[in-house]
Amino acid sequence: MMTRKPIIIAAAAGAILVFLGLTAKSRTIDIESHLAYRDQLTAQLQHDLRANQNILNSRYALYSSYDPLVKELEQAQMIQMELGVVPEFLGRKGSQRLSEKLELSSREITNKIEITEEFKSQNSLLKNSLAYLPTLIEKLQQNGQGGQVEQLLGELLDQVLLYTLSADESLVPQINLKIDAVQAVIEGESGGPISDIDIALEHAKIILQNKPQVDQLTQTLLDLPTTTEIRELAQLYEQEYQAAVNRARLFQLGASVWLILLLSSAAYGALMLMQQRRAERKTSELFESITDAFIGVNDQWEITYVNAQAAQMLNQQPQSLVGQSFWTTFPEELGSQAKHHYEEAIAQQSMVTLELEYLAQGRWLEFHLYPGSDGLSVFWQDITPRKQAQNQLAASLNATQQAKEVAESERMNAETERAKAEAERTKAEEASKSKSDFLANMSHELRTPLNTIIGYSEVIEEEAKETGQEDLLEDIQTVRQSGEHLLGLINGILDLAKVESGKMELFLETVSLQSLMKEVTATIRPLVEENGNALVIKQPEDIGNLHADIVKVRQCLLNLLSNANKFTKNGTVTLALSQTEQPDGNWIHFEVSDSGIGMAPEQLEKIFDAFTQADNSTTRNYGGTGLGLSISKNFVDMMGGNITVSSELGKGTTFCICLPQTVLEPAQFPQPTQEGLKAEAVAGVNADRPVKQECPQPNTSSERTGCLILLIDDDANVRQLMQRTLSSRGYQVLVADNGLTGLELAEQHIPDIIILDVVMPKMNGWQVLVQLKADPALSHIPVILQTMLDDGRLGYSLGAAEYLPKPMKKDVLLGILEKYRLNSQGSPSALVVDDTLEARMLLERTLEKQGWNAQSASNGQLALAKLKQTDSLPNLILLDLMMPEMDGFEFIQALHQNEDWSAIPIVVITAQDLTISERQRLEQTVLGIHQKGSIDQQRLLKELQEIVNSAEVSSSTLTQ
Amino acid sequence: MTKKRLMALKLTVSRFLSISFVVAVCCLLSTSFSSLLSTSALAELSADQDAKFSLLSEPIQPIPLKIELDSRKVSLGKRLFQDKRFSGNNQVSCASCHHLSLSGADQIPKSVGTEKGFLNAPTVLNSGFNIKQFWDGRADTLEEQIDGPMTSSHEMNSSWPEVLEKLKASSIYESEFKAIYAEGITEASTKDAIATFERSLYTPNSRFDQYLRGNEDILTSNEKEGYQLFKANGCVSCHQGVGVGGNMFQKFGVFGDYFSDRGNITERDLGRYNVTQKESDRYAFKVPSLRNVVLTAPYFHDGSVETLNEAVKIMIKYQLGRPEKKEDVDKIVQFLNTLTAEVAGEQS
Repeated sequence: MMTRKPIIIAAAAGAILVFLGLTAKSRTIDIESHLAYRDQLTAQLQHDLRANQNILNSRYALYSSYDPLVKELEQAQMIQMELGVVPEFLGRKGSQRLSEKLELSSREITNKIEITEEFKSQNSLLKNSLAYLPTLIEKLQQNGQGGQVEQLLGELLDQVLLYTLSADESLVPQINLKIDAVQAVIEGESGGPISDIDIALEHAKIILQNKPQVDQLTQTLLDLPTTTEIRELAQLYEQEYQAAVNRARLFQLGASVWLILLLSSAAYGALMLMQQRRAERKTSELFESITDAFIGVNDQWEITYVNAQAAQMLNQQPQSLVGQSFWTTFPEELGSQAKHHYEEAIAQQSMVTLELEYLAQGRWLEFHLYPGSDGLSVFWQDITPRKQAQNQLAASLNATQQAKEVAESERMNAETERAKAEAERTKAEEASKSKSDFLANMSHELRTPLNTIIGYSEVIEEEAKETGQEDLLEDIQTVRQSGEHLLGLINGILDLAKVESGKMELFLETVSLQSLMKEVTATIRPLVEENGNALVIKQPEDIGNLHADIVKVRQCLLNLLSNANKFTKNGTVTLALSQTEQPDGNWIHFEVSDSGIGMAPEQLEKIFDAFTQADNSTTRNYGGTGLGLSISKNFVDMMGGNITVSSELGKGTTFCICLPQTVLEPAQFPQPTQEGLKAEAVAGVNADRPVKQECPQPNTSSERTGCLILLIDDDANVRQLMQRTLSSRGYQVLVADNGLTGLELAEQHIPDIIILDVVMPKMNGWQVLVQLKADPALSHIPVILQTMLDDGRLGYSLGAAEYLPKPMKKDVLLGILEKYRLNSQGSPSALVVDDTLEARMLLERTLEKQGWNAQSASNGQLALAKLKQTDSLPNLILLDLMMPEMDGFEFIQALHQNEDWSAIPIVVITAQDLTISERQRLEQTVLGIHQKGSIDQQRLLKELQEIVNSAEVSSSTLTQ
Repeated sequence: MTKKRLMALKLTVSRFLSISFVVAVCCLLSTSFSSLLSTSALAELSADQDAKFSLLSEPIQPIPLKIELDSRKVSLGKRLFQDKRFSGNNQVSCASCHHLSLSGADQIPKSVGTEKGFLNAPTVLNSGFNIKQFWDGRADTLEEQIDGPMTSSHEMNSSWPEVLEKLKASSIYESEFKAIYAEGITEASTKDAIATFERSLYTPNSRFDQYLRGNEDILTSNEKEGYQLFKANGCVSCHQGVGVGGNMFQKFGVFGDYFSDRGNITERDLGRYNVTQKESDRYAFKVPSLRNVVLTAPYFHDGSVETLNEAVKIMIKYQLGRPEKKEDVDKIVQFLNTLTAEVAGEQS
């Protein structure tokens, strides 16, 4: 840059000089001198022509002056001299050519002048004799006696005059003969005016002699190529002038082009400079904002950029590093010793990641080498804490391993066998993992046919009841019950598989323990009573709330309770709730005990394993999938709690679920699945934003002011917990206890991330989210929805009026349909959108049976087409999510873009398990209303009723 | 970086080339249009011939009444003309042989400068009308003529460096030259001043010129007859024009051999031959102007003839080939008298 500056200045100066030079060259045509020169040429031609006229005049006029002739020639000569001064603009070569031509014409003019001199002399003599001879002969004839001489003289005169007029050379011999004759006569005579006759003869001779000479000279003069020469000269000049003009125009063109070039390059340069500066500023801002250390290297391995972090590590000023050789500047163990990695990155043109230990500072660094077209970008970050953690983990793992090994060796006493067993275990784990993946993916495929089976059995069961085919009824009920059992089994397996494959997600929410107990009790009581058991509930009066995945807690409790009930006949099933205070907070204990068959200690050991019951015979006697306990244990583990069992054969069993009263976010548990879950959740909110840079891992961000998180939650416990958790990891946390405050804080501080609870009083999370997304200043902020939504509530969040999980329960569907029938006038209509033919037919039949007009479409695209065609919009849309062409998500989006259609209530019917990212993707389009779900179908129906009614109100308000 | 710059440069160049192309096309279009419009004016000139063909016009024309000259140059030239520093011995000026009071000549047969000369000094009056200078016409212009007498050993016997040195010594000349010529005293400026003065020595408004201008009564009948005889005898075939001569060369001795008749032929008698080396120019001399001829005796290049009558007679004999008639000669001389006039500047 510094060395280029003088070059640029020199180039600019040179360019301007060239421009000036071109301009000067283009201005060389002096039009005045051109016109003067052309006038001279014109005058010269005129002089030459006039000279010729004067020659003729002198030749044939009796008395004449040579002055005009002399003057013309003098002036011609003078002009010729003046023409010698060739206009400068013709250039050296043009002038030379013109001068050569000029010399030729000058020579001709000089020649003409010389010949003219001879002409004048001869002509004067001729004229003198011609004037005098007739006079003299006339006088001689008058004076004489008319003798022979006079006669001869007379004839002589006639012939001479004839000769002068006719230019007939044949007369010359005759005239000479006459002259001789006269002389002969004169010699014969003597005395008298002989001298006069002699003189006459002299004149005749002069005429004879000079006349052809003068004629010759005249002809020569007129034939001289002066006129041609001058004309050619003029033409040449015109050519040269034109050439010079063209040349000048060329230079003018050149100057114009150069000027354009000059201006363009100036403008371009300025533009480039501005762009470069902007880019530099941007780049440096960007680079400075990168928390990783960064060094830019060009293809000559010279450092082109160093950010502050990198300079700090190298203990040098960033400026002093720029331009240095990378290999000499960078520590050997990080640079030249790992040279092949760097070269590999360049050679492969692909990103290379490597971890290197920087012994000088006792640090582990992770390098990312990004090759570019003109060099390499080297990023690195300190991963020492991670490495240490890894090492510690490895060490503790080792310790555990060793402890295990000791125990193992005690039993097996063979190191090789242990290794073998270990390998087998790993293998089995891998197999288990792949099985889990498989099962999780099977959810849709398994549930879909079951949906049809159960649904149709219900339909047939209904029909059988109506038509009184009692004999069929029992068989059909068996089919349905088997289907439901199979569904339970599949659900169990899927849950387990999800847990094992790390795909199970936690949705923490806060509920009152009392209401939870109520729900659970209400659900299990009919079952307990069926077995003739007594249900005993023990709980303190004011035990407060539980912050956990309530659905899972409920499922666990129901599992334990139904187990207890299953193995107890005419006994007691007890559910006891208690609270204990521990150093890390309050814990809640759910104790489920029964007075049933109990278990032996060896059975207890594997009671929580999947597909295991206390006894192989148990399944046969008591039914069940054998998955319940396994699932429960997994759920409780996920929530950071534990589940214990104590039993005595024949006397009963007691299970105890212990949970923290406030279950922490999954991130706090060392479960890799939770890590992934969180990352997915954040990325799902705004996939465009590289969250990792914005909000780095806590262990690397301890020195920074950190990223700012706004937490909006109405629950004080949650707020405190989250704040503590987040602060301890280097985040700055702002809290708001309601949506309005949250929005204010968001506007004031523009946080990096907002964590938003959905269920809040006054203004709920959805309303907050809508406002956040509507504000341009805030819309970019990723929002993590801190909700405890079950899949079921996703439907509402999509903008659906209802949600029915598959396999749907017929009575639930009927209830919904009934509600919409009430809301619509005349015959209600519904649109069924499902890709499965059976499901479509089932729904259509069900709807028609209830007096609905049903239409159906096999995917979103066709459904939209149907909506376009139809005159009367359906009152309800029953929508499957997973479809070809256009799936349910896209369909909802498309629907919401049309004002008329967006008011149509949608019932989502899906067999699909949605990931959080899918959910988040949909949430952005949603103006949803949301409430907690419940597995209690009746309560769900009631809630749905309320939701739909409020939706009706809001949509009717909108349409007005 | 370099690759990117190269790319940027390429982009720039290509952009510039496209711009240049457009500009070039525009300029070329305008050039071709303008050249289509401009026609060669010269081509039409040959047709323009407007010379007057008057066969019957008089062969002698009057001297212009007024010739525009720079009066400063004339007066400077007059002083230089009379300045004897032009001669090696500081004794001879131009005016020594071309007496301004004696009609521009010296009235002696052969002039005397620093030494005795070989030829009769022609008059300086009306010398501006002469086609060439000197009897043999060896100088094309009056300026060129100055070199002759100045460097001639027997005339002024000097040189330009010498003369200029002397002139520059004079502060008056210095300032006078400076006032007229930017370059001051130089050979060219000196010549220009002298020649300009010489051109101012024209003698208009002679009685014959007044006659030519329409005043027919100004001439006596004899004088008019003389003019007719001048023409009839063929004198006018050489002595014509404004100068009544001075615009051509003619051989001395067309009828008969003047020089052998005279005898004692010198190199000077070869005349124009000395200049051109052409055989036809042997014994040829510039036809002298007959203006003020009565005042410029003795006559001919050799100053051999004392009277005008004698000179006319010789001319009639050797040049015109006619028998001599005393009456005619007298009348011709009377006509020649009407050609006398005073120098224009001195009249006013």
